[in-house]
Amino acid sequence: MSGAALKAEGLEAGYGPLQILFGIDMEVGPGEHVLVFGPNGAGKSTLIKALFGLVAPTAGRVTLDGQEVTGRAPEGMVARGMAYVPQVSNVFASMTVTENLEIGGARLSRARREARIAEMIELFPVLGERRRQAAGTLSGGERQMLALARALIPEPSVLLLDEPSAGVAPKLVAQIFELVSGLRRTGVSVLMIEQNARQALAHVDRGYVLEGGQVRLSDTAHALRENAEIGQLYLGG
Amino acid sequence: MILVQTLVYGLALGGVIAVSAVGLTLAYGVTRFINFAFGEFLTLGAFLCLLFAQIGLGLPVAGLLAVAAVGVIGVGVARAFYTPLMNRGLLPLLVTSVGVAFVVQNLVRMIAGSNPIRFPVPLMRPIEIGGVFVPREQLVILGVALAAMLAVHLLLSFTMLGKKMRAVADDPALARVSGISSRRVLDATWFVSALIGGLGGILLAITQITLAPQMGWHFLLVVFAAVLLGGIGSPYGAMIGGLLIGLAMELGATYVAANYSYAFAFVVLIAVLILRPRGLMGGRG
Amino acid sequence: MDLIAFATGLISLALIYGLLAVGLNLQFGFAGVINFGYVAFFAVGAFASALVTLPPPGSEAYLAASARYEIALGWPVWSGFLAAGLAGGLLALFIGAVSARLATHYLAVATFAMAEVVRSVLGNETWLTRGEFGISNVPQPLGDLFTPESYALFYLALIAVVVGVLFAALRHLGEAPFGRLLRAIKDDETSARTLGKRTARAKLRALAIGGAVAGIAGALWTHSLGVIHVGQFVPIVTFQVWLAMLLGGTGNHWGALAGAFALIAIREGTRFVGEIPGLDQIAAANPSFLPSLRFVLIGLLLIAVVRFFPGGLVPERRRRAPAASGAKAALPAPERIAPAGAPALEITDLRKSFGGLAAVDGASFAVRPGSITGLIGPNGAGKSTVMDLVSGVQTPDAGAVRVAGQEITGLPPEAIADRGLGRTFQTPRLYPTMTVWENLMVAGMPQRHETLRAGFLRAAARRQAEAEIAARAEAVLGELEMQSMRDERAETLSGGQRKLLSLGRLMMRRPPVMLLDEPAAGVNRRLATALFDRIAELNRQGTTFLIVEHEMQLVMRYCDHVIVMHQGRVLAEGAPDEIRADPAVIEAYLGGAVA
Repeated sequence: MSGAALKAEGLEAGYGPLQILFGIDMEVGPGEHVLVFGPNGAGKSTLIKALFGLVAPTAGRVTLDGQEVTGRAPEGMVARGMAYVPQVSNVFASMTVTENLEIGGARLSRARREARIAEMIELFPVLGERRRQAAGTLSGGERQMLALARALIPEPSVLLLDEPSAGVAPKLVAQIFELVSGLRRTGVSVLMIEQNARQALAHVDRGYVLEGGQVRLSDTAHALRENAEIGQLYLGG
Repeated sequence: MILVQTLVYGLALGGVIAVSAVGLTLAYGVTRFINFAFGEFLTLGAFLCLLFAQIGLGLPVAGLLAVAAVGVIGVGVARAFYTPLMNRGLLPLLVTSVGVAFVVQNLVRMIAGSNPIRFPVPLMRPIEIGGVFVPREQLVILGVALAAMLAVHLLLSFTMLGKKMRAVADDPALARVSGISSRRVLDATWFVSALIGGLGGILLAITQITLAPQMGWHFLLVVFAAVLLGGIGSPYGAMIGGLLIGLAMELGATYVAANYSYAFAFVVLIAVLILRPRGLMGGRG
Repeated sequence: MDLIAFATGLISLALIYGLLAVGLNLQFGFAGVINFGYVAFFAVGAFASALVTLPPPGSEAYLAASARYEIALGWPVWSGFLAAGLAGGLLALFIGAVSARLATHYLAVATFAMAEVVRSVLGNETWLTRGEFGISNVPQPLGDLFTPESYALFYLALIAVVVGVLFAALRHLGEAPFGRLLRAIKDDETSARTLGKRTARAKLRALAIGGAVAGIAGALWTHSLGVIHVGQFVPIVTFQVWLAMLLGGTGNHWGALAGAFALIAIREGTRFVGEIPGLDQIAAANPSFLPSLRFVLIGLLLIAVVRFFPGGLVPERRRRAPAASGAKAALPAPERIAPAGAPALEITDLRKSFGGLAAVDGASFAVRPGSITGLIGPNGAGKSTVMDLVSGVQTPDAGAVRVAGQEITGLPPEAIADRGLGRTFQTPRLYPTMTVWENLMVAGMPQRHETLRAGFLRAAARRQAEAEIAARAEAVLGELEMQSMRDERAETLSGGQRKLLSLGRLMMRRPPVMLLDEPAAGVNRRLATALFDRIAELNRQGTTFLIVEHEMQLVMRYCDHVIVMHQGRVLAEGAPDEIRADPAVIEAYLGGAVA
């Protein structure tokens, strides 16, 4: 199974003496969109942070395009083709839209950076209109677009999304998921964690249900949506 | 008549303060602590410039060499003393920077002695503006200061390095996950901060005509006033704060009491802080 | 010079620095105020005492000394000491009042700057201070009774007595409820405020006492030297005191005193660098070489101490709770809130945005007195922000908060706590460096026993209160099954234990309305159930609860009423069974078309 874009094997992590993840096995195929969901405290955030190197894994392996990257620092992960969009405060509020995008392309040559920015503005035309505006003045939806675009500039092979719909006005939630779906055009693999699980499931290929720091269930998105048991996991049984 | 002259002096002094304040605030923006050893960058700039001038270099060349050297020293000091403490909270950094200030200041004194030394500024004929004679040095100082601030503006707005510095200052965690190596940005920031400090020191030496090992440490207070006035971490705030403090000091010295020009800086500062606890351009957080 | 005179001088100096370090320690080590202008208090104290005690102009002594100063009172030395303490304390009060609103950095810089302003005033107002020339005939108390040689010994004894008395008083204060409150403020000021503590006032008092102590140190110093001039009060004095305190270990008065002795020993030790062969020639050619070298060494020492000995020479001793007396006080019944008709807590159209994102977007609900009301909703629904807005930790952009019908919108946290509202935080905000027992004691101690006056006077009342609160703390520890952890520092507790302790702190106070933010998160299942049983019991005794909780089983079993928040608003409310069946709620949790 070396074909996976991102793969975790027996991943364990936590904060000090507090272990949160207990041996996670999961993978994201090339171009695949995968959702991780589960009740609060299941370890979703810790998982995404351990994958990206924000929390040092205490055991297990993370491989990116077949290369082991376990426990590397975030800047190393970005250099190797992983990108991460944090949940809130995911734009540089005091900088303009263009400058935010430039930061995403800080490692690229100037010409390549300009080209990628142009491509991103094609993907998210509204960002083109807001080019010179400070990111702090954007609406919630526009910020998410900017954050996605910034993460995509270096052409990562895997994109990690931490609750992209959190803090977004209800009517925009659907739009955000449409945006993420739209990324299929770019061929990037997506791993997303989300509270708005049912809505998110409609836009991904597969899902993992996390509970108590372990993968409880994994199936296609369609099968998970049809599974009546999933609801019980949320409202307690 | 006196007013025009006072304004020119005030602007020149304000320019020196503003340049220095920008250097201090740049480092603050990225590292989140106020470097009490910043004044020593000024001292080093002035003394190194003097040293290079004494071995026969022209003042502009000596000045360039001096500021570059101070930049390198700044990176060295930060790597040796500050970086290891970055995760230990505010107080260790503040106290360490005070320690660094004492060490540098007294090393300079050990070598140069404590007697004031005359700075080799060539004599220049005053220039006449609207019937008032204005010393040419003051205009040179103001010009260099404005040019330096323009350079900082260009750096921050148009270079990738400047944008990275702003990104780290805006949100260090987000900068990190966006793939920016904070260590390299930190080094660059210290280099620029110290370099600007060195330049401020040379300009200060020209305004004061003499140099002394404690010149930077004393001037630090005024620089603090400018930085706080503008809002810590805001380079443009520091520029405005510097000019305002310079004007306040000169006007106060001319029209109220000459001995208290430093105190005026703080009267302005405290008044502003009471009205706006985070300075003129200071935002939240 | 003979050894005894040398030693006498050094010990005197070390004691004076020790006093300074202890005063600074009260300001920083206890109250957490970063004061980089400490020398100013020392300076005004020294000048105050000198000017009060010097022979007045025109007097015989004045003429005999051919003095030039223009004001002096010629009062006895003891009045000079009082004036010194007063001057230092008043200056500290002034600086504290001006800079109280400033955050750490601004405070460090503002205090540093104000000390320079003080020095500038003292230097420029030569009619008062003679500036750089100084005044040289500062009286030495009882000087004419001794020979100059024996006088040094007498003065050392005087210093030892004054420093000893002040040291004992400050130590006593540090261990009194006042000192405990200061340490709590240093650990987490916001959390102290939500427990109803007037933290600004306590900090100001700590600042003033530290200032007064430094002022008295200044008097001791100037009368021992007999000479005073403004050049003695340069910033490096401040940082030498910092060095002494850090050397000794902060938060610990014995450490501060020991640190001062270490400082003086090191400082004098560096005098001998001149004897090193090779250096003496350089020193002869450059008179500033040796003094500078000594400051370089002191600077390096400051850096090294901070870097390599963060705990200092005398690490803070572990505080132990007094042995359990066995007396377990019954926990007090909560006060009822008047008027009975109004909701215990009511929010109306509450709004709060952060950087353009609405966290709470027009939320309204009411909590019935005597109920256990659950507040649920997905992450980011605004529950914790509502808690912050209600408890005054954050100020709402719009809307109103009422407790028992009284509007409390926008009041500071301590005022809201006084209206009978207590809260816990999602991530418990304990006092990490204090023990479990101390955390409870701070929470339970009524304000009137935490004053300065109560620290020294009314000892009987204080002791009685201490015993009462201690018995209450025993009872709370028992209820939470935490007796074995009473002397553990809060930072060593597990996540679940921290949750318990933060509930315990509220139990010490028994406010009529308690807001609990995820009390059972991270607590094991058995203890979580026990915890909710406690909550139900407290509720039977009259406490109203608003509880954010994710564990649905607990919410369904214990809550009378459930409010569901989603996207910053109230999505639904009702009895637990209704909520469980509400399709909109299920959608909010699972995501779906919530229009």
